[in-house]
Amino acid sequence: MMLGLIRPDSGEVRIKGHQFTNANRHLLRHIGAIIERPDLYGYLSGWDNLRMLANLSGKDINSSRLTQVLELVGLRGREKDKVRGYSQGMKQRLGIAIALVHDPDLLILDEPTNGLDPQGIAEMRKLITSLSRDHGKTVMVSSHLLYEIEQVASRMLIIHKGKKITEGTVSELMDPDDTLFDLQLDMDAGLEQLLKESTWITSVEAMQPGSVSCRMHPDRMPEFSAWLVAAGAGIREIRSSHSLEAYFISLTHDAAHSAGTI
Amino acid sequence: MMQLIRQELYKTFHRPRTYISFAIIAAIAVIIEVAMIADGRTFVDFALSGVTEQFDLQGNIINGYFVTYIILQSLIVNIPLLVALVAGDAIAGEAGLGTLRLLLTKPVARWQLVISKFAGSLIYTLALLLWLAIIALGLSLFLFGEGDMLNLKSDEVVLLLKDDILWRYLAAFGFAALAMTSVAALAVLLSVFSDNGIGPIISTMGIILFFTIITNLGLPSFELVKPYLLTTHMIGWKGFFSDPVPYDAMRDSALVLCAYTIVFVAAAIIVFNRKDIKS
Repeated sequence: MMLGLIRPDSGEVRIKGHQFTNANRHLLRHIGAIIERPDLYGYLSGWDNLRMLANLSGKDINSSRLTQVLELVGLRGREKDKVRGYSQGMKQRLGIAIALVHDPDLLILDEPTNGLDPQGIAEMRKLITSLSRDHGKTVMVSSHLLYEIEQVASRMLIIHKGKKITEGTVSELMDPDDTLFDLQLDMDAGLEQLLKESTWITSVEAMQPGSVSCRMHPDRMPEFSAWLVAAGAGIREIRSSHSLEAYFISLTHDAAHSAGTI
Repeated sequence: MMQLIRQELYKTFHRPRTYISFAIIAAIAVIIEVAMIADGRTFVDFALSGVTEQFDLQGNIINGYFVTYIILQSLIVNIPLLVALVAGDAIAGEAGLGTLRLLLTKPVARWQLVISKFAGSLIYTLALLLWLAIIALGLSLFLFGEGDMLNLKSDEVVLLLKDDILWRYLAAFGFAALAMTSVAALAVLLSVFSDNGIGPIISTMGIILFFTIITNLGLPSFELVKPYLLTTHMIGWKGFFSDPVPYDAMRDSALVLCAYTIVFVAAAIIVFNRKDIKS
């Protein structure tokens, strides 16, 4: 919708302060995008794919710029090969090169790690971070892989069933005081009383004989665990589940409950 | 815009599929030419059996012009199908590949994309006809030489003198280009509706075959619709091989073909402008 592929039912898209419509598609020169899959012309070489789409970007782009972008995404040396022979990761990188070649201010990457192997995912993460940090690009990533988002994003917006349910910086949304810890302890009786005396815990979520789930700031855990041991509660396991995934699930669960649709 | 058209041509002529059409035309034309070298006399004796009873025919009857006409008549049903093979795939094929989304994330207007697709298909069509001219007319003239041409129609035989023929072929190829342009426009229009290339290719072929059958069937109930059918006017090129040439009817056919082309392309732009691109 932001790129004009689908018409909105209502509202408008603004790019650099200008309303984006079919009549002023020239605004798209400020944006580079890959959508979901790196769909390319398999019967053409990587170079031809990049050159053709660069020529449509609305800016003058010479061969040295193409080479530079191929270098950046790590495809230098393979550009003359037909794209049908590329691995998924190479296609994804070529997709990024196409999105980047005209030096846009904003990059929109839809599921950029789709179909990549673990090494490819790590490389993509590095590339996205570098684009933002070293090249000053604004990168907008949409993804279902929340762990990946957590690693690279500075701001997040969560959409559930077509509606925005929250938005903000990562630190705003994921309050460290709310980090959830699961502890397995060698203590049954007196555990509840012991936790009541603790000053480090934000809240206790669940308690069973020998285990407790509680929230606290991760920085307080060393002191808290030392205190537990001193109080006679041997620690068998501490597991932190502070993650965007856990946050997302709790958020969407709440949203579904409030909408009565679970 | 020129950039888009150049890219369309680059893509079209870098795909193996494009050359299937050129190979089919060459194969059919060469097979007919070889067959005419081997069995031409038997074929002509059979075809002219009614005529030779009343007239004494002398000279090089199996000449390049005569063979070309036979090739064109054999290929005339196939050419629209070959045009559809590329034009029908123009937009739908990109949607199937997923590259349509990629193109539309660039600052390119949708109408420009449709026009460039149509222009690309048009140039492919013209290249196909030029190839046909070279293989059918050029090679036949080379193999069989010039001569007066007999045009055997169902109800008459037209004899065209050899110095009066070449221009007719050139004009016929020009007219055929107009006819095939309208087929390309139809295929591009159908291509807008689909997300894979096969649908529009088959639909275009189906529509052309369906209306060709209606055009060729002599049933009175079809006479009413015939003047409005694309297929009725597509065979207008044959008019150049009548004597005298029915210029008025051919001008009307040319206008109808132009009108169809404009309507198809305009409809393609309108539909594509409103379409949500999801693949």
